[in-house]
Amino acid sequence: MNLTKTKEFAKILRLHALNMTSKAGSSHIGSMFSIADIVAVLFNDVLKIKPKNPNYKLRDRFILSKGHSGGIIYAALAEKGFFSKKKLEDYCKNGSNLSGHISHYKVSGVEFSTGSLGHGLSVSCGIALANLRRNVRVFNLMSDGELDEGSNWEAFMFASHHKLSNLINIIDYNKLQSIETVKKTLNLEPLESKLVSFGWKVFNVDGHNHKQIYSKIRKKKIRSKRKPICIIAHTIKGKGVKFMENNNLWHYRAAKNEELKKAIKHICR
Amino acid sequence: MREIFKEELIKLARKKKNLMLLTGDLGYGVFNKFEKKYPKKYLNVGVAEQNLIGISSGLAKEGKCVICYSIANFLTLRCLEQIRNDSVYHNLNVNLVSTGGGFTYGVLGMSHHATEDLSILNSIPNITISAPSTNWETKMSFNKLVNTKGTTYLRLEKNASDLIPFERKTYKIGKLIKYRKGDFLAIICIGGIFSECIRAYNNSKVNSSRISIYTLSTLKPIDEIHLKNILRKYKFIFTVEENNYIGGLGSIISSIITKYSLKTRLKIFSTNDQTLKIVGDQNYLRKKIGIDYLTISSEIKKVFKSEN
Repeated sequence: MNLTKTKEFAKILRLHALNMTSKAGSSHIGSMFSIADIVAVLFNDVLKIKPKNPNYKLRDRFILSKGHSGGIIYAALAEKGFFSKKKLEDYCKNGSNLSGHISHYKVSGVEFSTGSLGHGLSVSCGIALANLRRNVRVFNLMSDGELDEGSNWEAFMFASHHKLSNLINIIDYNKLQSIETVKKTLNLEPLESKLVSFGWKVFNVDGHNHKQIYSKIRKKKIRSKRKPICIIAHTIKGKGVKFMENNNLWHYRAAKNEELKKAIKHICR
Repeated sequence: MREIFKEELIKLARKKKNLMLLTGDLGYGVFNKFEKKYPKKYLNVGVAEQNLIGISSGLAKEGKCVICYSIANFLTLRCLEQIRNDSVYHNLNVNLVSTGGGFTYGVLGMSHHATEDLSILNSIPNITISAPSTNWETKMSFNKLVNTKGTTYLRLEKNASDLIPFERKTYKIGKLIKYRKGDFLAIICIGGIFSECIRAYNNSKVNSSRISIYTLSTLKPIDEIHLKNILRKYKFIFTVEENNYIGGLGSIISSIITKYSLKTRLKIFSTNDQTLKIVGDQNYLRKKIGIDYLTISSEIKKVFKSEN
């Protein structure tokens, strides 16, 4: 892993996401910044993918269950060469396929469309089950508020029961959901012991520390035990732009004029 | 119907290497033979319909031909969004097969009365829906659906009508199947309620050359032109379904009559936008809601009386 490169990649992704949402006047920039470092590590150093052959059979599957952060995945895919970076300008435009919530339709590299929360993990279970005997890993990235959805807990039970050791679920634990804090809305704690009791191998990482993220999801660590793996990534919503951090206004608001300039400065610092 | 489905499923598993059967913990004793023969193709995911459809979509995405089995309401209503977003939007080969259509489980109460499943799924674009009336239709429909691209729904009841022994070589999606031929009134039905239509026909004692009986075994997609050309031949149409007419057979036929300004008159027999708060066996509840053979035959008599 080249830390400088990955950090630079995360910066580029943040800039893309910022410009895309700002231009489109669309929401969820805070959620995108929250996962920017995880996405950078995944797409730069972890995922086995081939942009020139996107349906390559033995590719790793990446599912974004928190579909509202789709913008930053489009950015990662464009940067990796799945499609031209120019296409990112179409984000949320009339007639475009690049919807605010991630969609696969006519977008190369998007494994699965989501947008309603609590769908990704079940689908990932199906994909992991079909590929259990192949050298294919399935990464599902979900939000913390998403865990309010009961369907996830059905999937947690299923994955451990069927020993889906090729499944890695990453929880973006930024502790803020749509309106309020997770703690105030529906407290998830003790999250780690809940997941352990559901039969998962659980790791806690700083979701903005590239080295830590990488050390837990790199290939060697995976499939060592006959258990699915869950990474609780402790993150900060809006990470990278000081005035957006931990402020739920940026779940909805798009940066305009001076805000945009200021945000770019923050990211490029 | 379920017996036919079971038999066909085993035959299909032999032919289709990629077939998988998933159940939401329903079908006690139904799949013993299948499981014994094809243990790797069988999976009980537990009482978790949302997960059932999600997993099925994931498997189908990886090239599996998935059959999902549960009771009608659980398989369609509990996990409707998973069907719409995960399976249908991705055009995945997930084949939903439900049991307990209509009032099959009448005594079990409102939760088990499947009278909106067809309507609700019908409003989703790009899905194939079938509710066969006879064992032959069940066999043909199941095989056709499994080999149809995308997501499909097959609604089964416990018993198929065997009042008319009938077999043909071909079975076409979206077209009417003719069981009786007449020139004045056409009864069009979907699903097991077909048996009530046959009884009504026999009971009405009207000149048999005046009444046709059809089933529309597949509710979606329909061949609109084919339907229009048949509907226009009749002065009266009766549609009969063990389902709400809104989004169901009644509304489909009604919309074609309106769209093509046909002169034919329509009477719809359905659950009529009602929920039954009482229980009873299937025949009892059909009668209670007005889709039994006596109600239909009395309406047949009325139509002919007014004509004379």
